[in-house]
Amino acid sequence: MKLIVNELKKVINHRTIIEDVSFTVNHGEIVGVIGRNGVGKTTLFKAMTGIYLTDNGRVLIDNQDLTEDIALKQELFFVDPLNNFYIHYTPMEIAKMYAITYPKMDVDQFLTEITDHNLPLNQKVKYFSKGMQGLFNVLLALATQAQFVILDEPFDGLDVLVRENVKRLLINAVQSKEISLIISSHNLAELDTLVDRAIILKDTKVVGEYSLENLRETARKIQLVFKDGLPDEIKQAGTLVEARGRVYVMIFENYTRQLDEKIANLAPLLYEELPLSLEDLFRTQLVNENDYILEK
Amino acid sequence: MTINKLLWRRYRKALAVLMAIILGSFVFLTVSQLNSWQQANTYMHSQEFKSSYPEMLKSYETAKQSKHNIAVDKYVERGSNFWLEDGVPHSFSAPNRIRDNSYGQSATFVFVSFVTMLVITLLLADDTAQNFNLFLASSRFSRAKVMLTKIKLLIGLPMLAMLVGEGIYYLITYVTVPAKYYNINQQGLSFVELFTSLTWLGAGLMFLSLTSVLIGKKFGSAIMSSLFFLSIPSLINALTLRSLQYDPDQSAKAPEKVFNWLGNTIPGGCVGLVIAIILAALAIKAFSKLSLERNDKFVMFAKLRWPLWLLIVFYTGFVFYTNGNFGTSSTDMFSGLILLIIWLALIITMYYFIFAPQSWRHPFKSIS
Repeated sequence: MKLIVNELKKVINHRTIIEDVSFTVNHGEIVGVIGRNGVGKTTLFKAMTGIYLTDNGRVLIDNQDLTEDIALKQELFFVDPLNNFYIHYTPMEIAKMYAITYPKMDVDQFLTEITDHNLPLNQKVKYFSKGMQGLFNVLLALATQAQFVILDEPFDGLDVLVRENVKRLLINAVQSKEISLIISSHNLAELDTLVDRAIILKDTKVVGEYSLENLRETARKIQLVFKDGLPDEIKQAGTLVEARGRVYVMIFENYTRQLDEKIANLAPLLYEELPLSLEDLFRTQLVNENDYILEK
Repeated sequence: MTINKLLWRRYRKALAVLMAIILGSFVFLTVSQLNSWQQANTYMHSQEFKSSYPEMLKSYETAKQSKHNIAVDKYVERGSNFWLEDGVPHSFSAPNRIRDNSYGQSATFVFVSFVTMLVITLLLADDTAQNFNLFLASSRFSRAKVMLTKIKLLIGLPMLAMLVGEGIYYLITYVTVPAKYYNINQQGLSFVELFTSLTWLGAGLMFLSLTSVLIGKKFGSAIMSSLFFLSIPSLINALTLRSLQYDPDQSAKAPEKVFNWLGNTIPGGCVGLVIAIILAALAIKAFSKLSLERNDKFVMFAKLRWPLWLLIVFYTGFVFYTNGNFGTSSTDMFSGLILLIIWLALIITMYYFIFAPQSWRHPFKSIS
């Protein structure tokens, strides 16, 4: 099964929130959606699931348009954790309601999972702590057996143990059931070890789509020290993410052999390769120099 | 159908309570009226009545066959005047006993209608306030089907309960009151009145469904709908006064005539039915076209803000102007001025709710 988002556009209050957003999510893939606050990640998810009617574009599952074959929506799960009706119900009641909407849902298994994770079965979700609600949301999402599960900030407010637990649950679900996950998170360190692919949203559009495996082969994060400051030709070849005196940290998205030779010819006093993370990618793509304090 | 199950699960507690109130009200009415009727109509159990009844019935039949002018209250056709108002002594009720059981039945219908409207308004508003509509919009059920099912459950079931309640009332009365004393007369069991009551109630409930799709604030739709319902008599008054303004004699009775026609005739009931169907179709269409980014806003369709506000301005302006007394005397001028101030306050308040201008909010924020 394949999810295709094709040229999605949404205008709210005469302001274009997302435009020409296109990407594909494959079977058993974990895709991270990255963007700064207010860039339209949640709007994208709500437009994908039909909560918002789009101004343009289509969402397809197995080449079937969701607006034409609405039953396919049972393969797509999304809840907005901040605006959810189910907080007024107990897990038991929620399970019964979602089982109607998602016919593949295994209610008994879900309730067992709830109990196993020490969540109360007969208490309304609004009385759960934030961490418990986050965990509950993930358990519910996985229990629906939807092929494509969209999780908006699933690690938000979770303590380190619950976070690890949630990650384990997600990875297990992808491995055992081959579901696909679409995750947005501000916690890029968490996403870094989880996603296969990152989609970067900026200024209403998808500005980049990276396979992390490929990226790690082509991109480099390098710490450099030059006697007379950072040469312009090097500065233009990559993104400067940090400057501390004469120490510069740069990210080169496409680190070629020619660039390597160019740096070598400029005889840096220090050349050190640093581990490249998703956060670095975020900085290169989404952070303006004005937003970031370069001089520390 | 699964969407029925889903929505039933959502509303079942409130609906069960509502239907229990409706049915309970009718059962209570039936029991209490029958009880008081039995106690009041001791004359019917008297020997005098029993001995005179066959003779009176015979004379009634004779008079009827000879097409003589029959004074109905002197005779009985299959029983007593259970629903009649006995302002004048009837043949088969105790002299001067005032009884009007049909009034109790009408009052009960009004009571259960009011409770139904209140409960439905709150349930529909909760769907918006609690973001249940977001869940439904993301589900595998089409929006049209969702809205149709909401209407079926939230409006169909209570109305069915009312119909059953009315049935219980008349059936138990029919069974309990001795047949020979019993008369289903027009005043008591008026199918026309029942039909018009139900169709106009249906139209009212459909209006609530539509406003629940248009108005996002929890009590916004309730307040708007209530104000509209309260304004209907003034609207009819205004419309009839406008059309008959040169004939003062007619104009005084015109609103009453219109109300009677709408509420007591089959064509009037059909108007209610047509309005109910149109409003239901509009509600279904509106919900299908509702993009939920303005889910918590007063007006959920951004494009409807100006039309709605202008409608309120003209509607209230028309109703206030035609119902007001704008004469040249000082009293008239004063009352006209008061009415103008109320109207301005109303349209400014509605402007604030509909457009929620940030610049107007600033001072309040500063204070806080």
